[in-house]
Amino acid sequence: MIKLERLSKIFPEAERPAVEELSLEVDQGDICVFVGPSGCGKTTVLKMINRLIEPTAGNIFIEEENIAGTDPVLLRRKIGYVIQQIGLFPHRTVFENIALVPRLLHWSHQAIEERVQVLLNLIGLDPQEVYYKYPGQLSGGEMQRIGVARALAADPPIMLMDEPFGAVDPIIRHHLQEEFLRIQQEMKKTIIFVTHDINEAVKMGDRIAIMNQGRLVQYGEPADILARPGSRFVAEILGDDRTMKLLELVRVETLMTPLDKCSEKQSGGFQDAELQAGRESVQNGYSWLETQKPLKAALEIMMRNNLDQVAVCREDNVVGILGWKDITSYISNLERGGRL
Amino acid sequence: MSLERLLEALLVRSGPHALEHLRLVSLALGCALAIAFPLGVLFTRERFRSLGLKAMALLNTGQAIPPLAVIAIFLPFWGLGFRPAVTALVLYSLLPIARNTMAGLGGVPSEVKEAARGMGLNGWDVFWQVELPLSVPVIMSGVKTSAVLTVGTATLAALVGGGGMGRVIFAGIDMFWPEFIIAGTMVIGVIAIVFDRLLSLLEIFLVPSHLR
Repeated sequence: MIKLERLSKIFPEAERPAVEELSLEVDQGDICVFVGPSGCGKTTVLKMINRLIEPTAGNIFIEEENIAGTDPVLLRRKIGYVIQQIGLFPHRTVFENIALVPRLLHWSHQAIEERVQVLLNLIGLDPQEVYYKYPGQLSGGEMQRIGVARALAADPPIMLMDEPFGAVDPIIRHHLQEEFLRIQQEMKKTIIFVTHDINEAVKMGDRIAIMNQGRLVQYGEPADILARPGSRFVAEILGDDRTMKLLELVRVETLMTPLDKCSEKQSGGFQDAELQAGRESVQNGYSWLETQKPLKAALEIMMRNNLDQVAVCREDNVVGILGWKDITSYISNLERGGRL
Repeated sequence: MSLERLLEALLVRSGPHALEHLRLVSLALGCALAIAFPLGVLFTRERFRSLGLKAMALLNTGQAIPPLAVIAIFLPFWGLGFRPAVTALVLYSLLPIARNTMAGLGGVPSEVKEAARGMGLNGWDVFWQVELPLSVPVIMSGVKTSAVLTVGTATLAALVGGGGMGRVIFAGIDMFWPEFIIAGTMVIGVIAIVFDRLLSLLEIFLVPSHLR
């Protein structure tokens, strides 16, 4: 767990504090995304956590330990750090770059070799191919992956990521985000993630911290913030399509009416026999989608086929029905402050 | 022009003076490196950066003073001989080394340094493992520039009794023997090339393989 307590940073000769009285807590295994316009202080917060910047006032606790009392160099070896410009050592091979922190921690050579192999496989690069390459011989996406692998090398419980996917093109970025979320599902690291891209924040974050001019203006789960922005500033950051963003976060299975609870009328569009027969028959006459898909995908299908409900399938069986009304009432309910 | 005199100058007269010349240059270069490199490192540290700019301005101005004048400056204090000659040469060869050390260290990408610190390298490790290896090519080119410059300038050492190939050349000027001037110049040229080649060899050992 990471706890920030009334954290402030005032740079000499600055007009206003870079960070002002910021307090929040990040739970173990969560991704907390700091988002805000440039100059809002989000990177400063990040760098105070590994003490690249020392706070002017306030405290930071990692696992109940105040980091002000720790050796910054040793502290940093226990915190993974990924930055937008990556900062791989151009004179070292991929192997040596990833081996950096394990070497500092005096791991055995064999342990380091094994760890690098595991990491390269994890990030989807072929160890045979990249092992002895230099950063200059890699593509931007590959370098970014190596940067993540280097930060993960000594298996730190905490990761700090400063716009880690900001320097690659949108297609690669999307790919890296998906990949990272997949890895995170297994790793369960506590991650502080900084971005200026609200879409990235919504996608990556278990929690989102919205900052403006050094202050924390709203902190919460993405769905809560999207449904109930606390101020005009937050609403502006979220954009005109915040409801659509919300629809991307919620899976169809959470809103569907399970088949056994469907009334005759509700399932009217689908004949019983077809419902039971599963996906193939549905495919032939009706529209369907899988339980894991976001609500947005369900809307897409409804709009394209001019339907007001779709069948929801798990593996090859229809398990429920999702109607247009279910979605709209869910949203208005959320905005009124209710929970699912 | 006589071939006989040219051969005499090259084979008989040049030998000892060439060795003197080598001594002058090696010593001066060694001292210059020992002074300029630490200075260059110091002036790129955060704390002394503003001082570095001033020092650089001073050194730049120093380079504009003709070498003859630098050598002459020490005459009243140190008199004639090997020592004042070396001192003048050291001063004269400081700048390229200091400047390239600063340029090399300053050119190390800040994100690489930041990542290194963020990973948990201490200041010492960041310098030895990151900054120095990445700036060696630039620093070495400064050393080479300085070496070639010093080989040429060391000719003037003969004027203050410091010896070196200047003796052969100035003898040629005094006696109206162009053979001596040509021979002296040729030997100096060869010495300059030798220095450059030797330093290039050194560079191969020092520069990380991938940056060559």
